[in-house]
Amino acid sequence: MFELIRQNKRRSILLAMLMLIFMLLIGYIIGSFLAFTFYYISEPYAFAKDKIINNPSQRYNQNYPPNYSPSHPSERPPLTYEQVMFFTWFYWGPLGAMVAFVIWFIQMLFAYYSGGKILLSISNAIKIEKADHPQLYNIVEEMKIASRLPAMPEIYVIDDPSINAFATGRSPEHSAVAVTRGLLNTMNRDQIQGVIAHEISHITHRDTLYMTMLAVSLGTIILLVVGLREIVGAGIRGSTRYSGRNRKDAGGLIFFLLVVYIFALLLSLIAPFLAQIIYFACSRQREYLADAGAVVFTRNPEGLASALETIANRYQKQPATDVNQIIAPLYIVNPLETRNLDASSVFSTHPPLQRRIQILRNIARTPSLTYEQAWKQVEGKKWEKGAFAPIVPSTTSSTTPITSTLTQSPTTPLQNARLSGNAIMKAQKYTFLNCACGVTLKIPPRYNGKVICPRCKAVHTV
Amino acid sequence: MTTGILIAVLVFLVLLVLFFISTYNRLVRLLNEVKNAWSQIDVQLKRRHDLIPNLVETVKGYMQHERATLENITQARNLAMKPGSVSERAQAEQQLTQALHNFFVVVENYPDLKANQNFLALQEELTSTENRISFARQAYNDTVMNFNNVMQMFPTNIVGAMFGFKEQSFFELENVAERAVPKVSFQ
Repeated sequence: MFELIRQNKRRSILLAMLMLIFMLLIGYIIGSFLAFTFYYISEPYAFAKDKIINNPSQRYNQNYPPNYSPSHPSERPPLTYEQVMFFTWFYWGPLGAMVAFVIWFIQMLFAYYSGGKILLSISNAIKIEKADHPQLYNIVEEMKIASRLPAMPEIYVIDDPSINAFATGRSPEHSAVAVTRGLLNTMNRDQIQGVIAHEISHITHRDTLYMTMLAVSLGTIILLVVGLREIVGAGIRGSTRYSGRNRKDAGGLIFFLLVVYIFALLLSLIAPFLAQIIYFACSRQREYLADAGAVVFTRNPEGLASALETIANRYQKQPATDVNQIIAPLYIVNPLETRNLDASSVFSTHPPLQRRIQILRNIARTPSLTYEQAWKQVEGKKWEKGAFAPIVPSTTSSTTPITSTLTQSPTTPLQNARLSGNAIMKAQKYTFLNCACGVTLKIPPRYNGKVICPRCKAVHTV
Repeated sequence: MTTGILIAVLVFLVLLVLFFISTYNRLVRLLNEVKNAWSQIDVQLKRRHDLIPNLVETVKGYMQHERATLENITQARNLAMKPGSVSERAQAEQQLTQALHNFFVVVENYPDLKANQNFLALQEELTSTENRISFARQAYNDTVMNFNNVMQMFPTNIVGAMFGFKEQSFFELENVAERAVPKVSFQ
């Protein structure tokens, strides 16, 4: 298990480096291309076909008026072909790469410091405190202890009926977990614990930071490639106008521009796909690792397995559609992929649910298995569509989950729904009024005036 | 020739000193982690001890006939609060866990109590505390394992013995059979 993580860490650093190098390369190409085009127009001598003219007064004849001479002694002589090439490849090219890096760096800084906040705010997550939902808070704190996280993550609830959860945060010191209201409504304590353990192990593995970095590189690459295509397109349009004025030597330039344009076009079509494939492959690996981490923290694979099963069953009935593909890897299950339970493609952000459940259940059955061994057992196998691994009651003492010392009476979905609803209202500073007849009135924070209890008709003033 | 040997010896000595320094620092760091993990358990144990008077107070009215069960809990709590070695305290805490277990089995006979909001909140807190103790114990044992690994493995064990580090003991349940107790479910 730990070997798996170490190996994965090495591989992912390599991948991130490759992505960065790819990005710098595109920056380099843009820089040198722009310089080359500029030189082609402004330094006609360097590109003149007939270069054997040695007479300095004659060498301008080709492109300049017959009696051309430098208007001022300090005006620099025209560049030679070698000089143009040198400046293009060794000055403007590297400068382009540097500009690309600066663009990447600024985006990275922004994403590093406020990416989590933005993500939470676009998903309408509401921050809750302990008093708002004691059980959720307790579960997160338990997992914080199990994972030896240095600081308590912030807890958010998303007022949404779908079942999902995600973690964000740049480091274990600054992290947050968010769960949907649907998740709180449908899951029991063990299942929520499995989900939270999965999210916390994303935090301890620093997956959010890593995936943010990959996403920013991906975004920058796409930005640069599209930029290159646009610039070349504009260049071609400009050069056809230029050729109108000076038809004689425009042919070479247009040919060159066309070659670069086709190159940029192909790159702009391929690069996003390539980058996405890398991005999603990383994401899939990290989901397995987060599952493994959850098993290590809770010692209760069944909790997470049944949580995943619940999610799969729900989404088979009503698939979700409004999910951003770039932030999808952050969720515990990608809502867009839940129809396809048994197969994954290069564009999947998560491993197939069925496989994840099977691995967890294999560990529950034979506790001596490490996650890695169970993963190898399951890898490459095929299953019938839509069938999940059955729940196997544990037989040996060591499978007893670490949390079985005290068991709570199970709560009904109705109770859960009331608790999660109250949590959201408490977090939004609703006033809770207890009427003498036993009804609890929940009043929005801005409301002023009288409230009539629906049961006993007593009048309360707020 | 002799200068070559001298340089080789010097390099070897420098490397040896570096090894000693780094191992010593590693042992100190790991030992501090063990101490920190232990203080985490302490925090949770104290939390449990604080919750119990509350619990007894809440249920007293409902459970007139269960004097003995409640007294058991109080006694176990008082016993567990006494200072002692790691293994002594582990044993005392185990008794307290057992007493709480018995108590929650008895609670099943009191539907009124199970509907009490205060009691439900306390039950959640106690459950969570039990979990936290388990998780903190697990984290503590992990740190102890890391420390003891360094203490026992060659050649770091030499450094450990030289500077007088002691192996740390695990926080284990006294009775292993206890762990095999079937899950009690309150349906």
